Amino acid sequence: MPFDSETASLAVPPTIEVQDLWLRYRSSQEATLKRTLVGMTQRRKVTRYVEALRGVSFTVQRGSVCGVIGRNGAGKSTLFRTICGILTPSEGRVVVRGHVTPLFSLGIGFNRELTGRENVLLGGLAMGLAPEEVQEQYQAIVAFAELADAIDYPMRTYSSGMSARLGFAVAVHLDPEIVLIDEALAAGDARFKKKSSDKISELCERDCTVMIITHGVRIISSLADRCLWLDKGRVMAEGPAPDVVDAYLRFEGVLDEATAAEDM
Amino acid sequence: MYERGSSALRELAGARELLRNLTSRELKVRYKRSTLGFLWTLLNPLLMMAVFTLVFSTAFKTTIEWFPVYFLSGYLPFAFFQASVMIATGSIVGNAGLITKVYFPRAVLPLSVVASQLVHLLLGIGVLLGALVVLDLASDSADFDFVPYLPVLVLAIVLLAAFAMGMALLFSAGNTFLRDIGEFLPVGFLLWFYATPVIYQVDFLPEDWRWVLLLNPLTYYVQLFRDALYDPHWPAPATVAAATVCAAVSLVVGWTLFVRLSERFAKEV
Repeated sequence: MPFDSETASLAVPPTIEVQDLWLRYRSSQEATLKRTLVGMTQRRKVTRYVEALRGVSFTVQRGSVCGVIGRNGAGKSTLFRTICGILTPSEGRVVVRGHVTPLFSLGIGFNRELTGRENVLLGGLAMGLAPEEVQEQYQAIVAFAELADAIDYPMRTYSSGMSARLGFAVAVHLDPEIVLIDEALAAGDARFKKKSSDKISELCERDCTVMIITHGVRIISSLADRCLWLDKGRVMAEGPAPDVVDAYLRFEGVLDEATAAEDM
Repeated sequence: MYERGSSALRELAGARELLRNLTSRELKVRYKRSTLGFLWTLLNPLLMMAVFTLVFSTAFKTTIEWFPVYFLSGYLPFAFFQASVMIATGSIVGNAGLITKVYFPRAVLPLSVVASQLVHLLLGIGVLLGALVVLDLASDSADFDFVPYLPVLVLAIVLLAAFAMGMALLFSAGNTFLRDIGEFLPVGFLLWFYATPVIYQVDFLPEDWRWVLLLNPLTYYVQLFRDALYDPHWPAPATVAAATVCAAVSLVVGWTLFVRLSERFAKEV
C-alpha cells in the first residue's frame, strides 16, 4: 500500500535511511615486497578499486518488510554489511534508527572450544544485548535449535547443521528491532528449513522492521511490502514488491515465476 | 546495549559485559585441554626462574643477591607485557569470521587479551608475595619488607597495564594491514627481553650502552616492580614520571590509531 507508507513517512522518520551510498573495496592484490617496490619505482597507481555500491539511496519505514533482489554480485550483501556497521561507507550516509540484528551470520562462531551455551551468551553480547536479555531467551533458543544436551558440549563437537541451527535460533530470539535476513539461512534439513521460514514470516508480521535478501521471488511477493532491486551496485527499481519483482523478472527474461521461485 | 554512532569510547564502555565475558573465555580456553590447566600460569614463570637461576649460578656466576627474586620481580611484568602484545597482535586477524559478520566495538578483542593476561600477572605476583613472606621469616639476611610499599606495586601494575593496552591496540591494528608485524614479533621480543634489565642489573652494562635502557619504557616498569618487591623502597620520582608518560603516550597513540583503522578492518581481514 504505497499511499499508507507515504503518509507514515511524514509522521515518523524512516527506520533505515540510505543516501547516495558508495562503497569501494581495494582490490586485494597481495601486498608482496616485490609489488610494493615495483609500485614505488613505477609511480603508477597499482591499486585498483572495486565499486560494490554506486550511489544507492532508499528508505525503509518502521515496521515494514523490504525485500532485496538482484543477481549475484549486485551488492546485496555489501549493502547489508554497511547497514549493520560492519563496513564503513566510502561516500554517502546511512542512518539506522534502532538496534540492528544481522541474520546472515550462520553459526555464532565465537569459539569452537567453548560450549554452545557460552557461545550463545557471547553471541548475544556481541550483538549488543545485556546479559539478562540473553538469559531470558536462553531456554527458547535451545528449544528452537533442538540441541538438548549438546548445548553443554564444546561447539567443535557439533555437526555443521547443529551450529547453523543454533546461529539462526540466537538471531531470531533476541527480539530484534530491525532484522537483516540473508537468504543463505536455509539451514539444516528440510524440516528445519520449513521451521525457519515460518519464523521469518512471524518476524515479518511482528512490528519489527525487516530487510530480506532472496533469490526466491515467491517469498518476496508474499512477505514484503516494498522491494529494492540492485544491479551492479545501482538501484534499478524501488517500490511496491509485486511491481519491482515483475520488472526484475521481465528484465532477466524469466517471466515464468514458478521457475524463478525454484531458485531459492 | 551499546549505542551506534556515539563516540568510540562510549561504545566501548557500553560493551564492557562483552569485554568481561571475552576475558573469562580467554582464560578458560587457553588451558582447557591441558591436564594441569590453570596451574600452568604459575608453573611457567617458576620453571623459567629455575632455568635462569641454574644457568646464572653455574655458568655465569651472577653476583646478584637473591637472584630468583630479582629475576621473578622483573620477569613477571615482562612476560605479562610480551604475552599481552603477542596474543593481541593476532586478535583482529584471528577473529576475521566474527568481524565480517557482527558489528561490535573491535577494541574489545585486543583489550580482552590484556585483561586475561593481567589475571595471570596478578596470580604470579600473589605467589611471589607469599614466597617473600616465607623468605623473610626463614632467613636472617633476607629483608623483603614489601608491605609498606604495596602502593608502589599497585601503581606499577596500573601503569604497566595501561602501557600494554596501548601497545596491544597499536600492534593488533597494525598487523591487520601489515601481517609482517606478527612474523617479526618473536625476534623483536627476544631483542626487547635482552634490552630490559630482567636477568642483569643496569650497571652491568657498559656506559656506552646505557642509553638503550633509558629509551626502553619497560626498564621503568621493571624498575618500579623491583622497587616494590625485590628491594622495597619508594621509587625515584623520575622513574614514576617516565613510566606515567610512556603509559599515557601509548594509550593515546594506540587508541587513536586503532579507532581510525578499525573502520577498515572488515575489508582487510
